[in-house]
Amino acid sequence: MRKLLPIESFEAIKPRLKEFKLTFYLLNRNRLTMIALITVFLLVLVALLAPFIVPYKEQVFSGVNPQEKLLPPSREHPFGTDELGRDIFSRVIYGTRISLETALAAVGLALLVGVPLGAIAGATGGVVDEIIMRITDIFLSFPPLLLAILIAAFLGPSLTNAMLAIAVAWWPWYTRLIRGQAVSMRERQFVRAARATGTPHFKIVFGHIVPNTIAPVIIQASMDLGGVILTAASLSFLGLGAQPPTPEWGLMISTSRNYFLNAWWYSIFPGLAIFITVLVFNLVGDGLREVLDPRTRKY
Amino acid sequence: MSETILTVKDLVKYFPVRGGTFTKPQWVKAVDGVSFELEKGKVLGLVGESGCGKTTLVNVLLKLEEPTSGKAFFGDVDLFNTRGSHLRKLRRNIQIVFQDPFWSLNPRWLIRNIIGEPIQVHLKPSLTQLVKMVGDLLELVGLPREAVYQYPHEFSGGQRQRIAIARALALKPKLVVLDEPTSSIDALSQAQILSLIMDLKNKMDLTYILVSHDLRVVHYMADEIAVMYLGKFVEYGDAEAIFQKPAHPYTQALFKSAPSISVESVNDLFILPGNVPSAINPPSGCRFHTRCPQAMEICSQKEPPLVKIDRDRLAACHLLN
Amino acid sequence: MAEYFEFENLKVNFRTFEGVKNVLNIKNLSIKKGESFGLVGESGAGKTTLAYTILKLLPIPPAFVESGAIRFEGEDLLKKSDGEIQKIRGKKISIIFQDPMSTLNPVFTTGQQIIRVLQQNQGLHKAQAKKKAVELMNIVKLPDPENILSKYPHELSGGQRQRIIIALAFSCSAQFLIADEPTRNLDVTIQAGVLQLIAELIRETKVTVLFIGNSLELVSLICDRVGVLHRGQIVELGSIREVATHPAHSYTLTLLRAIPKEKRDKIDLTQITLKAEERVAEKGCRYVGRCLRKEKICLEEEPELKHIGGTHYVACHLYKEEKK
Repeated sequence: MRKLLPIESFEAIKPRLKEFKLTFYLLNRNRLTMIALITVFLLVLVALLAPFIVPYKEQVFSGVNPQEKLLPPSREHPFGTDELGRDIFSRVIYGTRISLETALAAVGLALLVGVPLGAIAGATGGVVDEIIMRITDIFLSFPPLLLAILIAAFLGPSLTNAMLAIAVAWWPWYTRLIRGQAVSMRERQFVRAARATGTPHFKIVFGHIVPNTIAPVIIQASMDLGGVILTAASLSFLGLGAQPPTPEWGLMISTSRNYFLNAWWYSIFPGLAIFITVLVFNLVGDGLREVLDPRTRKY
Repeated sequence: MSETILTVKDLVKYFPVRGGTFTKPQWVKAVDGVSFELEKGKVLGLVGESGCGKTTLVNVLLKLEEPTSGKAFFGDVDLFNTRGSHLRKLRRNIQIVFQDPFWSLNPRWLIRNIIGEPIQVHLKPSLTQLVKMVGDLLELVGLPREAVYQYPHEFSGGQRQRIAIARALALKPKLVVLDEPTSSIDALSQAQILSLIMDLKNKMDLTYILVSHDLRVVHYMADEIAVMYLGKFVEYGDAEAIFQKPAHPYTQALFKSAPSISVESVNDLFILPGNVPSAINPPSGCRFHTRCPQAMEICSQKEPPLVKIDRDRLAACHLLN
Repeated sequence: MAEYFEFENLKVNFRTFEGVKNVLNIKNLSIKKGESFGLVGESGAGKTTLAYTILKLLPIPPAFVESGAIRFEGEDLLKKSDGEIQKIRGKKISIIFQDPMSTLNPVFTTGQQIIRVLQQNQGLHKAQAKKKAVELMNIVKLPDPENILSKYPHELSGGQRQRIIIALAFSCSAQFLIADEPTRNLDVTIQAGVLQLIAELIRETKVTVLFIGNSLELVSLICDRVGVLHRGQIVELGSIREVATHPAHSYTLTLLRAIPKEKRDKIDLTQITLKAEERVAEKGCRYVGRCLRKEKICLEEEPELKHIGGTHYVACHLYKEEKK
């Protein structure tokens, strides 16, 4: 979308803003997408403001409060308390921050690696394409869980390492996705015009091809945010990701297994949080799908 | 005596057909031996239907494809053996205006960057200079300067074509290829674009290669025309002479099957039987013989050479020798 | 007295980011039974929208019909339910689209597709449908029908595909045919053959035709009467002879004469302006942005079609009766 000029004048920003506004308008035409979008916005807000809005900040990580352990939901503790007496509501809110951070980091890393590789492969073709795609195939054949276990074995289980494992397992999907798009884009007339002008290959790949092929990747990535949260939670559930006392949703559900019969609230609320977050990301991704294709975007 | 700006000799471009592991390699003979000379300031019209090779021919001349064999000279520079910075300089002189009104401009770029790309690649101007130069080019093609900060989708087909023309002219090229410049736009804009193109030719001393299937446009603009069929020229020479009296049967068929207001009934249109044969296995002898209403026996046996048949033109047909 | 096919005050709009755009505004147009009526206009003028509106194929948001009626044999098509329209599509009113490649399903052979349509629309058994499919191939002059029917669309040439579409369109003895630029993507030598085929079939089946095209020359080969569409409005209406020999609206003149016959004459720009197009005005004539002859009334009042002789009508305030 942006040419590689360092300074952009005000007039150049105005039309891009307008395009952005158009995207918003189109997204909001679908009631469901609009609600999902608002929810995502709220989640981000919660994540950002977590330290300021949690009622029991000191209990989020390790405040031990044994006399209040496993209390059902009440006015003081809307989501109840866990086996160490910590307020589950505060922990779930903090968990939003943790999950979103992890999701953004994992997807961001995967995009950073996957997109340039795929774009270069698709736009260049020939041997370069072959080499990159074979490497991609190799990574694709690794089951993410196995990868996570391996990395956990080498580097020790932690949320950061879980995030790395997810990024390593995820990037090939983006490479493949964008490579296919790039191959069809490479014969478009504006790309030919750029070649006829003498534009260097590098600028063609990242200035021309990437902006026009990134749409499916954005859509996939926004849905993947939900998927990553789920995967990270699963890894934490298995003990390979977040470690206690981190208030990560998956970890909370894992711990709640032992208290399942007596404290229903312990697993329900983190579970609900995961469910809602993943759902709204999927809905937004779906809504984006309709909106980002330049040809159907006219209205 | 006008100088020759482009010389092409025996240009051949074959595309490989991907077969299985056990099939013999085959080739799509897209361009199969084309030679011509183009004088500075003239307009050469390349006429032919889909599959005739005209698009491949210009792609090779623009160095978007590598030729299989043959030579081409721009002035005295060998087109196919230039590399690196010499090639870069050469590209400034040969430009192209494409036909597709939607995809010929990057939909995600501002007009400033679309038109400005050639300038940025070759001249590296400052931002202010760039905006001024692009604005000047917009004025040259009859668009408002404000267009600099708009997107292609905000413009109609005819206007987008003007933007494409502005981009092609950004570095003051000497030769411009116009690939179906008016085929996807409406009648009104067609007239305006043609008028603009001719004006610019005179103003900027340009030479054109016009690829088009619209005979009215070719008739209006071209000094010389070359009629292509299955990768070869079948008739080539002075446009006026050919339009008045087409010599080759294929040229005659083309002209007679186009609708015009003077044609009284649809049954007066000339119908060429059959379909364009495959370019992988072109017919023996004269490639047109399978559909030619005047084919003789020799036509399926020997390929007719492209020779001078009168003062103004060459044609490849046994009937005319 | 009801006309056979009639548009009445039809207004079709599109809801866009920048507001509501009016795409079609046809006050009064009727087509007689057995007539071949041509509609000429540039891309974006609303021709395809019109074809789609008739058969309720418009994407309803963002498009919507603000007002008006389309009457076929007296009944308003716009008021029919989806079920009722489904009975009409392909059976009473048939349509040929521009691009055969996107009309035909690439994953089925042409035979399979034709047989399916015949089974659905006419309730034939598979064996009957097969026979009829071969007959249809003969009607559209495709040699070696069995072979063609066994091929996939991408294995056929453009001309062959379009003939198949035509075969489908004529297969159910529809009474009204809409042909939306049926030769748009074909080479000129193939186009000639397809046009002749269409003309012959029209003659034989006596079907009423709405033929949409982007050049008057093309439309004049098939049609008796023509309407010139500009920005969703009919600006000129008349028989082919009337319009071609005495074009009354500036736009029609441009369509006919912009590209000169004589080589190297200056293109006649007396009827058109080189200024970039302006936005459609709220009121007044929609051609004002391009016309060189504007006067005050053109900016204020929308011109109505007025009768200027025979069956010839023009929508222009400034048309003066000229010596014929």
